[in-house]
Amino acid sequence: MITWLLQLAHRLRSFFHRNQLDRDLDAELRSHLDMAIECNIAQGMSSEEARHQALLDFGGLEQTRESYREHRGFPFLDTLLQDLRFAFRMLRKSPGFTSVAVLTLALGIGANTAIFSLTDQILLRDLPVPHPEQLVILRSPGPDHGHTWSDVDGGAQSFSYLMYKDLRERSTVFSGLLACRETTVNVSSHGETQRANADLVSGNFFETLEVQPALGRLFMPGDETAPGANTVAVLSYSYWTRQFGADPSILNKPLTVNGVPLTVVGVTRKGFYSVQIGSTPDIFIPVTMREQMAPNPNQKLEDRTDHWLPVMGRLKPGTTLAQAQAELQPIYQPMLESDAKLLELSGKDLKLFISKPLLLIGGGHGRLVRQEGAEKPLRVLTTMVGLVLLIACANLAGLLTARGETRQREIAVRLAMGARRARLIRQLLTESLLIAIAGGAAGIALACWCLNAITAAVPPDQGMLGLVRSPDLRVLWFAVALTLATAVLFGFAPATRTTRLNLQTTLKDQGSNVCAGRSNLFLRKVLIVSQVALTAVLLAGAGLFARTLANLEHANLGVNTSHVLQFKVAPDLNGSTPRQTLAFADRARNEIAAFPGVRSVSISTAAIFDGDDYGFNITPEGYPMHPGDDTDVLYDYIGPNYFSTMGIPLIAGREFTEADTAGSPKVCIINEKLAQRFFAGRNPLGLHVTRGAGNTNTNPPMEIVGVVANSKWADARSDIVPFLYMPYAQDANLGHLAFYVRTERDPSPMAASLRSLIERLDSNLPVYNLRTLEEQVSNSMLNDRLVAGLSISIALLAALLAALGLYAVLAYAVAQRTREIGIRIAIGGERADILRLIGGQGVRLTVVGGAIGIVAALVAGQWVASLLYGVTAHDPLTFVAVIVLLAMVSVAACYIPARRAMRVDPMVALRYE
Amino acid sequence: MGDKADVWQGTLALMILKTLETLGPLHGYGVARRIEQTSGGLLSLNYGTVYPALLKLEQEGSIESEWGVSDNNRKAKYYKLTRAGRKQLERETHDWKQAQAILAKFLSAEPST
Repeated sequence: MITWLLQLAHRLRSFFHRNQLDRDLDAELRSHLDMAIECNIAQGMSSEEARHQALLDFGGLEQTRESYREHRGFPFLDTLLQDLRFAFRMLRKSPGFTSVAVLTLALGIGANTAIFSLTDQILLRDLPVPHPEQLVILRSPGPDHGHTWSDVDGGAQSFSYLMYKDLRERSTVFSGLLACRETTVNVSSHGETQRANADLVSGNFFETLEVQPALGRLFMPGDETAPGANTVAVLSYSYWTRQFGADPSILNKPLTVNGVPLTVVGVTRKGFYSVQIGSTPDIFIPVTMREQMAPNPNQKLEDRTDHWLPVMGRLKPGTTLAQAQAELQPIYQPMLESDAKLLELSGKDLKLFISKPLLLIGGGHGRLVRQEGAEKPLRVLTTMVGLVLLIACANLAGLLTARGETRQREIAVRLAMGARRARLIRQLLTESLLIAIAGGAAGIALACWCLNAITAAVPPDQGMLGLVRSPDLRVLWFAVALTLATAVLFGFAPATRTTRLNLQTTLKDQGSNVCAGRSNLFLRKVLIVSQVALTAVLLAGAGLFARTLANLEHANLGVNTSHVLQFKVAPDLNGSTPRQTLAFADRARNEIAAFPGVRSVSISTAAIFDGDDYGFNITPEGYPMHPGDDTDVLYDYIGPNYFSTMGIPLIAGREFTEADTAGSPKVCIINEKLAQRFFAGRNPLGLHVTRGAGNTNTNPPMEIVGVVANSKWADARSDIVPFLYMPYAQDANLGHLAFYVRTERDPSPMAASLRSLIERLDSNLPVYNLRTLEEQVSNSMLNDRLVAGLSISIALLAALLAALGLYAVLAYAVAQRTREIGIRIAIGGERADILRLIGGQGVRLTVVGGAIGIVAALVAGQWVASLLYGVTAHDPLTFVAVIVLLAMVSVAACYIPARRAMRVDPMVALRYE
Repeated sequence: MGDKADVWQGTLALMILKTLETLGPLHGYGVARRIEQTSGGLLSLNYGTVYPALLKLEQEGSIESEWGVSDNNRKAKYYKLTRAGRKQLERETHDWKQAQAILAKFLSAEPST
């Protein structure tokens, strides 16, 4: 060990004092020879003889120096530096090749790094807490009874609060079992009220996640005692800095949240957000404050039939998922049985309900809620940029092979002079490595730019929150690994190929061979064909996504989205009763209607194209119910003039009017789909619909007073479903409101006056989602827009790279065959034949590559079918367009080399050399 | 010139150490000459191979070097044993003798009949 260290120290010293030591060695060897010569002369030799003998005895000065050096510093590093210097010189000598190579790689690596950064942030990253691998998510798939809230996984991850508490007390496999539910609250400070994202959390939330405070303290189990009793709050670091200027005096001050004063006890540490990636809560509140924070008169904290709370646990170290599951099941079973009694389940329902398992899934990445819609597009995009990188590598391999051919004489000379082949390969690989590093560096810069552009395209209140624009260390490592992998991928084959040559023929032949080496040409043809094939796949994908986006944008929504401004308010969060909210809604509606430039105004409780949907099942009058009949419909409470404001045509009957009040007879309006579904062949006007099913139904029947045309609801993709509209005046739980204002002219300038109007009516009521309806619709297509935009860019990039590759191969072929072409022309060959010779080659490669690519795209299309809208995975139009585009690219790439070939002057070509 | 043995890998270092022990500080040329002479002309030694071996010993801390002046007033690099070098010499001499003894016994064994 010691000697090893000594050696290393010595070598290090030597490495940095190379020149000095070289001089030293030379002096020593000289002194050796001098002494030897002197000795030989003393033995009677002539000075010439003495010198010769001394050198002979010594046995190779150069070998000694070499072997001395090998022992001395780090010979590997020495040669590497040497190789790098040489490679650098070689690359500088051909700036055209170098810049094309670096640019090609930069595009490939940049695109991959940018997409990886997105994928990493959205899908792959662990929660920023200690030992995330110990975290698990609880889920219990199976039939739901009672009320179940669902954000993901069909509600299987939602539990009742008491169920959570029971599990926490009775299970022994967890070092902590936490609960956390997202919600939105109104926070009043500095005299104004703003919306904030809140997490309702259990008292042990921070303890279990092992999160530290940046200030004050975080919640403890003592902060979760009884409903409404825990009036404390913890702020997130970013909210604290953003909203309170990181003022430490916020501690122990009251903060009014939904009208309830909460004491701020602490701030979480920087970098911690929550248990959901993409969710950035501003404020944490004990789960026991549910009824104050998410006011819904029907939802009590301790209702065992209300499943609303996601639960996560931290397993004790060393416990496996299977062990924990096995231990939990016997605890869970009796809880289900007692719940089943509360729910009055019997027969088959009971049997299915109590046989629900309690499963654990890995929770290291947190709860993947917002990721549900993003996962597939990201995987598709990752695959697409991966293909681009393959194209870039094939391109570079082609370029390097061509370059290798022009350097064959140089390499042959070096081999002849005794250079080892491994050494030459290493030299060539160093060159590719240098290109790769330059490309990688440029690629990282490009990735930063791309990420900026992508995140800028995402509206701040849409989709993923907290996306970072600059690549972090993980992403940089990814880029570095990618760079090295590409260097090997595109560098190795050309390097081994170039150094495997027949010395005699190469040296004899003055590099003016009539035809290029057969096998090299074949390799490069294969490379071109694969590039064209990959490009065809990418173009087809881009075409399908572009068509999807176009279809979505032109989809018949059934709503006239132009000249409509929308905004939302949530008076219930401030403690407003349904009666007060109703009064507010009527007053605001009348005031807005009086605005100059307003054509009409209306209100709904669920906003369209916003991802909200509310549903129940119905009993339609006179409809013969069959067993297993699906009577689910979506519903919304709306105001007078709703359909005229939204531009939804009224087909029969009337709209709601001011006469439809809380006390007037219950009425409803249905869409055509509902009419067809339940009232086929009958006039629905005057018939009744009752909410709920079964004979024990006590809800009042509602008279159908109108039928309206179908329109889309959640987004442009969604199918038309049976829809039921009711007047908001008859909504017993009227809570939040979405306003729709149709204007005479451009609606945008009216936004500010609408905001100030609401502020005048209630200064504590934050206005949110204030935007034109067109923007709202466009936001709902965000994923499609990103996928289409990115895939088109990616495919065009691929086409450009493939064109470059094709061009390079043909241009090279023309240059290599200048003499042959000269001879052909000299002996009377038609120029058209020459064009056919060169152009034909390019066309053949494109046709073969294109055919392979089209077949591959037809197969791959099935994989993306779920992302398409209004177009099949083998859409003929798209594929024809791909073929046309490929043909154009191929002609463009062939044109210049073919023209150059036609213009070869036989005299010049033959005299050359 | 006939049958001269090549220097076995590893034994050159031992020879160098022994030479330096016997003759005290010495330059590379002297070491090479001495080894050749001691072998009575039975060893074929390229003088050049001595230098990498000297470097290796120096790296291991068995010897150290210093520029000096030779008997006939020539500048030369002198090598001398360090304490670690002496220990190494002792150890390797012992090992070598042991190996020799074992091999000798082994080779002198009579074929059993």
